[in-house]
Amino acid sequence: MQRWKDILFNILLSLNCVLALFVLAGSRLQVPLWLQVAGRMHLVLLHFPIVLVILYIVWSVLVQSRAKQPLAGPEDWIGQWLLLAAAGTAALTALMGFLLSNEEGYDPQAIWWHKWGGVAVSLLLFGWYAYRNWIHRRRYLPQLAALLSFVLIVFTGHQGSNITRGEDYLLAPVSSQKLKPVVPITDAVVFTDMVKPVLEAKCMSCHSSRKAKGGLVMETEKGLLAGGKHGALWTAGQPAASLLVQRLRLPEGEKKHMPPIGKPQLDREETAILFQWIRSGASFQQKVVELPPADTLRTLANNLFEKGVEEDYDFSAASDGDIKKLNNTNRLIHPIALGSPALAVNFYNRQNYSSAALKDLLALKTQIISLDMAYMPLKGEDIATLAQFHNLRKLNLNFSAVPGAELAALDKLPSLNHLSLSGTSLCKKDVEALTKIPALRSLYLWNVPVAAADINALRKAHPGIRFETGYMNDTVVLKLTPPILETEERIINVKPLALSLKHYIKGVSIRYTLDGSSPDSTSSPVYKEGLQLDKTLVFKARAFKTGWEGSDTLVMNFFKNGFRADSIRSLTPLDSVYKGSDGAAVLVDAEKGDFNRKNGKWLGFRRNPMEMLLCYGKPVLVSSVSLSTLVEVGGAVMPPAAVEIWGGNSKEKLSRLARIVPPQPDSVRGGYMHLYDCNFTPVQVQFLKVIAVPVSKLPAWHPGKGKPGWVFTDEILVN
Amino acid sequence: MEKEILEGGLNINRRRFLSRLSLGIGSAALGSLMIPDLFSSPGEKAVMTGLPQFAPKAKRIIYLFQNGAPSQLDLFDYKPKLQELFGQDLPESVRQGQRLTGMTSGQKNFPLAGTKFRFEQYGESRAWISELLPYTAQAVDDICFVKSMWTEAINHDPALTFFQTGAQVGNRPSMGAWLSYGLGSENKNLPAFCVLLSKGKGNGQGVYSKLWSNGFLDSVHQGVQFSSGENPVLYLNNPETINKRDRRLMLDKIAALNQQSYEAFGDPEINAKVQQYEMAYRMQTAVPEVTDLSKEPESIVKLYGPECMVPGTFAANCLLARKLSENGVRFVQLYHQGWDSHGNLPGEIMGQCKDADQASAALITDLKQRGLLDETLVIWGGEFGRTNYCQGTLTKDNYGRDHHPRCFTIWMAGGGVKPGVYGETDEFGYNIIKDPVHVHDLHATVLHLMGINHEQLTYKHLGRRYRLTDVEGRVVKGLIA
Repeated sequence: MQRWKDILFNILLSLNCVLALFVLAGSRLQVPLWLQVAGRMHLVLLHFPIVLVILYIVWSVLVQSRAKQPLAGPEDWIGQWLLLAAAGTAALTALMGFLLSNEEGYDPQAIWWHKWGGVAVSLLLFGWYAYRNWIHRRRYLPQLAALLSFVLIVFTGHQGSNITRGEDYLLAPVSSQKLKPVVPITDAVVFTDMVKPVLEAKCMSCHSSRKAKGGLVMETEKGLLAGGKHGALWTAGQPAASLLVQRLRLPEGEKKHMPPIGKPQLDREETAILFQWIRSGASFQQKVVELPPADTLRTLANNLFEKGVEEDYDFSAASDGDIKKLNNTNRLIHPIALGSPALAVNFYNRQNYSSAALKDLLALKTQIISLDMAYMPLKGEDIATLAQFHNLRKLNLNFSAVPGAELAALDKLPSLNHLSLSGTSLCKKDVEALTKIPALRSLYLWNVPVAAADINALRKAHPGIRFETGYMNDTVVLKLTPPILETEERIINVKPLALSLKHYIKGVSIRYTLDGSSPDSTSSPVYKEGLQLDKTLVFKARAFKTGWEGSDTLVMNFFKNGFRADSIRSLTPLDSVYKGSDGAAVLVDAEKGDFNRKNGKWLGFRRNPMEMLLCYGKPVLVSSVSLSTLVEVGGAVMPPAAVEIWGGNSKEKLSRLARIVPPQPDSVRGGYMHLYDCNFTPVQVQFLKVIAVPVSKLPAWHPGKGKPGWVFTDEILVN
Repeated sequence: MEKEILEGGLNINRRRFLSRLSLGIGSAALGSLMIPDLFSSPGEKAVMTGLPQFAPKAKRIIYLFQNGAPSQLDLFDYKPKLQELFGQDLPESVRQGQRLTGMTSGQKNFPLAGTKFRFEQYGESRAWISELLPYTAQAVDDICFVKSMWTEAINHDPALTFFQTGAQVGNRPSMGAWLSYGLGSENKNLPAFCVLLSKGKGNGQGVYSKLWSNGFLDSVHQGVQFSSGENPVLYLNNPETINKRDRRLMLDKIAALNQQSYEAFGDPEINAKVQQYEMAYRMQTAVPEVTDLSKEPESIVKLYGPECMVPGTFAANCLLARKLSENGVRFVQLYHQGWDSHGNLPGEIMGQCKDADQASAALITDLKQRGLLDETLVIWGGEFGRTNYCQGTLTKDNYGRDHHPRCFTIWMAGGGVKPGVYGETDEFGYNIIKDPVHVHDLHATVLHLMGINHEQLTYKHLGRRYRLTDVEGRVVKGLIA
């Protein structure tokens, strides 16, 4: 055991000698590459002496307090081994530290205290071990040695951690945190407020004047431009070819990937900021607001600056009483959030507006940051009042009849950044004057009579302001919607029918035809109120307007009924469900049914044929009878198998005037309505019998084959 | 009845008495300890309503609800893999036992149906948009697409109710009602919560007034449905022979009577009623002004499309929504019916998109050109998604899709959302693989944008506190600019 101790002691001696040599040689020393590996072990090994020294001190305190006589020499073999181990690892650590410090990138000034601290620890522990027996026989000396080595090792350790973790690392959580002042996006500079914070957070722990790994110092513009030992960091405008980006983009396992493994990595947004900054030319002065609105860097900036940044207002809140007093249904005043001194005001009901309503608000002029006065009839004096709301950020004057020439007064508002003037009659000169508003960022000028070219010129001249001109309709051609027929009747019942048409879009002309041809925009007559129809026809109408494509055609059939029957009676029982809202009378009520066959305007027949008797007070000269029917093949509603018209002057003596056999469909198709005309030589009749026979068996292709079909009728027209 | 009178007079009942008593004892005990918040969790804090809790990004919401569930696979969520595997069966490894609706549970196989519509990428975010939505495609730079929405419900009514009220069963307050309760009205001349209905030609599903109900909140927070006829708000006009002055006198007398019964009873609903009479009186002038579309310039008609002048269409409702919102209506809820394409999807969805596309995109543009988009949140979407497999017979040109709760796409614009594409689904368009957003999360996020902590907007009812997000929901930071 003693022999081992002696050998180790001799090694310890020689290590300290080498250490002394290194100290003397200083930076003249050339460290071979293989030794650099050993040097890097410093970071691992340094923990051993710290722990061992502390262990030894604790141990000796315990032993010393127990023993009556101070223990020393062979009795305290644990203590001796501990001290030897501490001294040995301390010497090794210090040596390796030297090797490491000779690698490039360490600022000699920054490591001075750490270096000499380390040397002192090593020598002290060596001396303590060498003279341990002598020291332990003296009073207070062991305690002094313990105290001294403890203080030294803590000091050295702290200095060391300052190098790797950055200064103030230890005390950061308790030292008063100076919050970075929040930069409003209007003042933000791309480099200072977006790029530099990334470098500071993720790069400068190594690439600062303190460490300057790779010869790169990022703290100053000069250092950044100079680059490191591998050359310039970037080529402006070519991010992909730039060293900085290339290093960031290497796979994380790669040796040259930056930041090195174990250090905090850049997130996607941060990489994007660096990439886009280089792409945009790597300017140190460019402001965020000078970027074009669609620029990616601008978008990144928007994310960065508007994220959770709630503006701190430096004014105090107005009294609740004042706010309550001025609040009414035409003028709503409210704090922007609970506990915020800032107020937003909305005006409503233009007919109740007066200039005094705005002047009253001057009592709150410090607190109001947002004013919505859209649609209010503003006058020149109102603008002068507005110019006194010196904390105003947002002002909405859309459609407010504001006198453009007076608006120049708003340049007295230092914080106004959002100004809406859509739907006002500003001229070019008025808009130019607005660009003098110092903080202006967004200007809304849709529906304002200023030429697009003039706005574009302003855009170029003021890249910090977003000119929003909105939707332009000059070149857009859309199709109009068809006209709307307000007249509900489709049957011209004896008297002519007045037609009423409308269209919801202003300035539309409706053109129509009565002969079945398609209306065109030039030759077809223009619809005017009072148009009357007096015969069966197909009415077609389209809407036209300059700047629009003509509408689809509105097609409507009108049916003339020349003789209104005085009464109608069904000779067969009606169906229990489809019996009409008014029985057989629905067939002569001059109201067409629609495709809903349950709406009471249709009569359905299935088992019995329809047999209707129409009676007239005096004989009428009839030459045609038409039966209006519905066909929905899928629902087994078929055309009638046959239609017969009988007529005569007494109920008992009727003769057949006509019989038609309508064609039957041969496949299932969509529903439609059809009018079956039965024409015959004119004849005087007082009674007419109309018979429609349902299909007795549905054809073989029909899903319901073999079953009887339906006939649906809604109107009988007699002419 | 007697009990109510007694309670009214004392302004107290057993529950309130006990809770106050415990508070009294508790505060006496705790007062000396000087630890004011020891036992109160954040949720227990008294709710201050009427103002945002922090500076909001959005002041108003326009919710374009696409009722019936539009197919995300034919509009937004581009999955070329489905076209590749056209007609093949959905692998069980993807379906993972997902429960089916009664409409396809009898189906023997689930043939994958790739969309028949062309997709292209648009805008800064390179979002995929189908050819069915040419106008929306042009507005992509203002839109945040959430591709990873999911819900638990698989049938319309529960899903819709869930989206609107935060619970699948009825009787809870609707989102608009919660916001009306939390933030109050910006314009005292109009209701804070308005509802507009329209119907497309596609297969439709009903909407019921329970969707815009105030639930257990005061009835002033109920949604007011505007109809498409000549009088958008029914019974608002004075009857003939009654003029404005008479109406005022009548209301004053009624208010006095109501005040008496309030003093006798203390029922807060009496005050709510008085407030509603007063609001209706002011609405008599405000509503005709707001709903008058005749003064809109021609460029607006072209922006929204000619249908915007035809009352009752989705386009007209979008335009009306803009006008209401511009006039300080906190929450405008639109429902456009007809997206429930179980069969004949290509044909139906074309018609639906024709109705909805131009006007939805127009609303964004219109708000933007007035400088209102940054304070108005527009939400567009249905109650769930549609399946990647076909319901019924699958052909190249025709297919149908059933309900799919596991993933679907909605979009939001303005109001402080971050434009771009959020979330991702697998190559089958069946499961979410990145950043899921649950309905509760969406609610939490929307409330956050409006300046409300969703955990603190509560209302005590039947002995417990209720929230829009129930006991869940997290604010999705990735959606916020």
